[in-house]
Amino acid sequence: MSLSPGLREFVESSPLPSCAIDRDARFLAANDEFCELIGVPNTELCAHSVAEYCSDGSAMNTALATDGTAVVEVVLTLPNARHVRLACRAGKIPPDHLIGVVADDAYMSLVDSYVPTGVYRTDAARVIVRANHAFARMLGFTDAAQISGRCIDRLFVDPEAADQFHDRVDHAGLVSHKEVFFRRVDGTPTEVVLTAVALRDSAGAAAGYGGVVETRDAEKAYKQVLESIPVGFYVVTHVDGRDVITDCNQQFALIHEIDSREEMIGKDARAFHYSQEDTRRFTEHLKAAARGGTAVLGEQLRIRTAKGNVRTIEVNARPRVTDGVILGRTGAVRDITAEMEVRDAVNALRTDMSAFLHTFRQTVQQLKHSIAAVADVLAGEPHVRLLLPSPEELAEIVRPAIAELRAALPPLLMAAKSAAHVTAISDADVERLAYLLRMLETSEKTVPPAHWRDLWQRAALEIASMCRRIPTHTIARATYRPVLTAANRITTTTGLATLAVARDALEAVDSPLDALRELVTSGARPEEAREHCALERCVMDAIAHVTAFAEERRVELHFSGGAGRTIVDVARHAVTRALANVLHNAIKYSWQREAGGARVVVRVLRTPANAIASVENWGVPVPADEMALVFKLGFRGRLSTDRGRMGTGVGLADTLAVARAHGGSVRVESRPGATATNPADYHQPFVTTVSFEIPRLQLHTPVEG
Amino acid sequence: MAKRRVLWIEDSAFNENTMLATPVYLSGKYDLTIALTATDGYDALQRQEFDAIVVDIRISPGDDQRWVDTYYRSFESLKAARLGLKLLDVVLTGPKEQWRELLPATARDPERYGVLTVEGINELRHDLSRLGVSVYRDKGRSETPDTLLQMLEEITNRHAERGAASESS
Repeated sequence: MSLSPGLREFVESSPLPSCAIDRDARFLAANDEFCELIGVPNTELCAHSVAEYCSDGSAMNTALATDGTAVVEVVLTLPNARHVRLACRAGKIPPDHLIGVVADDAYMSLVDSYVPTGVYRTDAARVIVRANHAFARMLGFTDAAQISGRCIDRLFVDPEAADQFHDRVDHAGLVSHKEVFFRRVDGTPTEVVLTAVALRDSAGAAAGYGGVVETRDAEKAYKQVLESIPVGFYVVTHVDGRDVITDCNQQFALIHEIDSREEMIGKDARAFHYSQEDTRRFTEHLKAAARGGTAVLGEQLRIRTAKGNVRTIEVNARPRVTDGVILGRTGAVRDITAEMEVRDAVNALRTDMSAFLHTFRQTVQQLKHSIAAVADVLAGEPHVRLLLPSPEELAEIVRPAIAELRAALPPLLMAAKSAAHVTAISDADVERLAYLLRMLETSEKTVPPAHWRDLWQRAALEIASMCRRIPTHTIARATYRPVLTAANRITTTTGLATLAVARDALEAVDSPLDALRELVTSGARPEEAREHCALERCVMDAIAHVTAFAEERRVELHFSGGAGRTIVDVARHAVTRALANVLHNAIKYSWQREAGGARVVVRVLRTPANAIASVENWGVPVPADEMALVFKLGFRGRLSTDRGRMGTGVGLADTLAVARAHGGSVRVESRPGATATNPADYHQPFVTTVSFEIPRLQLHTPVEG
Repeated sequence: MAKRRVLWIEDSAFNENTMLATPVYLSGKYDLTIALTATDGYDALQRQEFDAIVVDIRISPGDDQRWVDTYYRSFESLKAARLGLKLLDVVLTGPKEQWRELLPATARDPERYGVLTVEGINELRHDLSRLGVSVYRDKGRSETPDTLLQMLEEITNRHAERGAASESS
C-alpha cells in the first residue's frame, strides 16, 4: 500500500515527530524526528510496526479502528524507556491509514511558546486543560496559565454558538475554519477562526477537544493598513489584449480619481496612460523585467485620471509569467505628482542660479578688464602689470613723495598768509593742510600698515583738491605746483595699488563662484563624459587657471611633474576645477617668508591603486579641531579673514564632491612649520597639505594628454 | 579738544573694509582702536573705556577657547557664527561674573554701541531691540567710505547730548 504524495509531504514536513501507519499498524512513512525518536533509520522504517512500541494492545486496536471522526491517543515506549503519546487519526482520503503525531510534552513546548496560532485542548467537560501562549495573548491574557481551567464555552460571546459548534465536532469529528466570536479578558469581542477535533481515550470514550484558533483581527488590521497608506496596490491580468485590473485597493482607485475599488476593477489599466509613448516605454520595461525574472522598480509613468487630470505615478510591478508569456502583473503605485513639481521647481531654480552666477562671472571678467584699463591710464602706459604691494613696499615708494610734499607745503602756506592773498586759502584750509601733512608723516607710526594705502590716497587727494581750488592769479603756479605734483604722485601710486587690491578681490571671488555654480547645478545637467588622461595634465590646466592670482599674490607655483603619465579615467573639466579650488586656497592662505617669498608646491604621486595630486603651502594654519569641518559647504575657518566675501567656503566642498564622484577622497593635513615650537600656537605658520586622491588606470598603451 | 576713544570690532578691518577707517583717521576727532576678533574685542573693552564701539556681527573667535567653542557650536547648524551678537549679549546682558572678568560700567552702556554688518536688519531687529542697541548700518546696502565715521559721530553726539541733558537737570 502506498501513501498519497500529499499525505507523505504532510508527514515529512510536520514540525512534530509524525508518522503514517496502515491498518496493520505497519509504518508507511515518518519524518526524521520520528525516526530519531524510535531509533530506526528511515530506510528501514517499513520493516517495523508501531505495535512494537505500544504495550497497550487494546489502545492500539482502538486506534486502528478509528474512522477519522476522532483522535485516539496511544502510549509508545521508546528504546530508552521513555514514554510518549502518539495521537492518531484516520486519513480522510483514503481512510485506510492513520496519521500519528507525537504529542509529547517536550514537543508541546514548541507549540506552547513559538507557534503564533492559538492551540488548546479541553477535557470532556470542555474545560481548557492546556493552551499555548498565542491563544492566551489573543484573548488579552498575559500568561497561558490564566486561561487554563476555564470552560471554553464561556469564551464564546454567544453560548448557543458554543453548543452548536461542539455538537458539530462531536458528530463530524472535525470542524475547520469556523468563524466565531470569542470574548477577550477585557470583555470586548474578537472574531476568530476555529478548527477543532474530538478527542477519544483508549477506551474510545469522549476525552475532550483539541483546537486551533486564529484571530481575524490581524487580517483586518492588515487590510486597514493597506487602505490607509497612500499606496495603490493592484493586480492586472492580460485578457484579450487588454490589461484588466482584476483587483486593487481603494487607494489605487483614488489615485486614478475613481471613487471606489469596485468601480476600478474591470477597467483597462492602459486606458489611464497619458500617451502611447508612456505605454510603450512601460511595456518595454515590463518585458525586460519578465525576461530577467525581476521587477520594474521606480518607473515614472504619466497617467490621465478619470477626471482628466494629469498625474505622475511611481510604479513598482512584477510581471506574472508562464512559459515566457506575460499573463499580467501585480504592483504598487504612488502618486508623485507633487514631488515632481518640487523637483522641477528646484531644477528651474538651479538653472536660474547657474545663469545668474555665469553672468556674475562675466561681470567679474569685465571688471578685471576695466581695472586693467584704468591702471594703464593712471600709469600713463599700456599693459601695466598690477602686483599687490605690501604696505612696506608701498611706503618705500610713497615716502619720497611725502618728503617732497613736506618741502613744498611751507612755501605755499607762506604765500597764502600774505596780505595780498588772504583769500587764496582759508585759515581752516591752512590748518587742514597742516593736519594732512602731519597724518602723512606720522601714519607709519600711528596707523596699522593695512590702512596706510587708503589713508595716503585720501589725504593726498584732499591736498590736491585744495590746491586746485586756489583761485587763479592769487598764488603763483610755481608755488603750488610742487605740492600738486607730490600729491599726484602719491595718488597715482596708491591708486595703482588700490586697483591691484580690487583686481585681487575679483580673482579671489572668481574661482569660488565657479565652484559654487558647479556645485549648485550638479545633478541637474548631463554628466561630463569620462576620458583617459594624465592627472599631470589636469594639474597643469588647474595651474593655468590660477596663475594670474598667484602672480598678484606673489606666490610661486612649483610643479615639476609635467611630463608624468599617471593615467586616470576622469571628467577632466571637473577634476581640473577641483584642483584649481585647492590651488586657489593654497595661494590665498600663503604667507610671505622673510627670505624666499611664498611658494606652493604641487606633486603627483602614485600608490598601487590610486593617483594623488597633493598641494602644499606655508601659511595660515588649519586648526586640528577644524579638520572635520573644512569640507562643509560655507564653512569659514576661525582663522579666516575673508568671511564677509561672497563665494567663500565653497572650494573644498566642491573638490570633495568631485573626488567622491570619481571613487576617491580628499585629505587635509596641517602641521607647524619647521621653525615652530608650539603645535597649538596658531599665530605661527603651518605647512598645510591637501591631497586629492582617485583611482588610477594601469594602461600599456600611451594616452594623449 | 581731546580725541574720543572709539573701538571697531571687525575681522575684515584690514581687508575689504580698510576704506572705512580712513575718514575716521582724517577727521582728527577719534582715537581708533581696532579689534579683529571676539577675543581681542572683549580684551579691549576690559582694558579701556570707549566713547563708542562699533561691532560687526560675523567675526572670528580669536584665541580664547570660550569664543572658539561658541564659534564651533554655532556652526553645527551651518549658520555663520554670530559671535558679534554673542559678544554684545555677554557684555550688555550677562552677569558681571559670567566670565569672571570685570568690565567698566561704560562698556555696559548699550547707547555707546552700534552694529555694522552684512546681516539684514530684519534678522537682527529683535536682538538689537532686546540689547538696547539702536545704531545699525547694513554693509551691503548703505555702505559708503564715511559709514563708520557717521556711526561714530551719531553715537558720540548722542552720548554728548545725554551728558549735557543730565548736567542741566
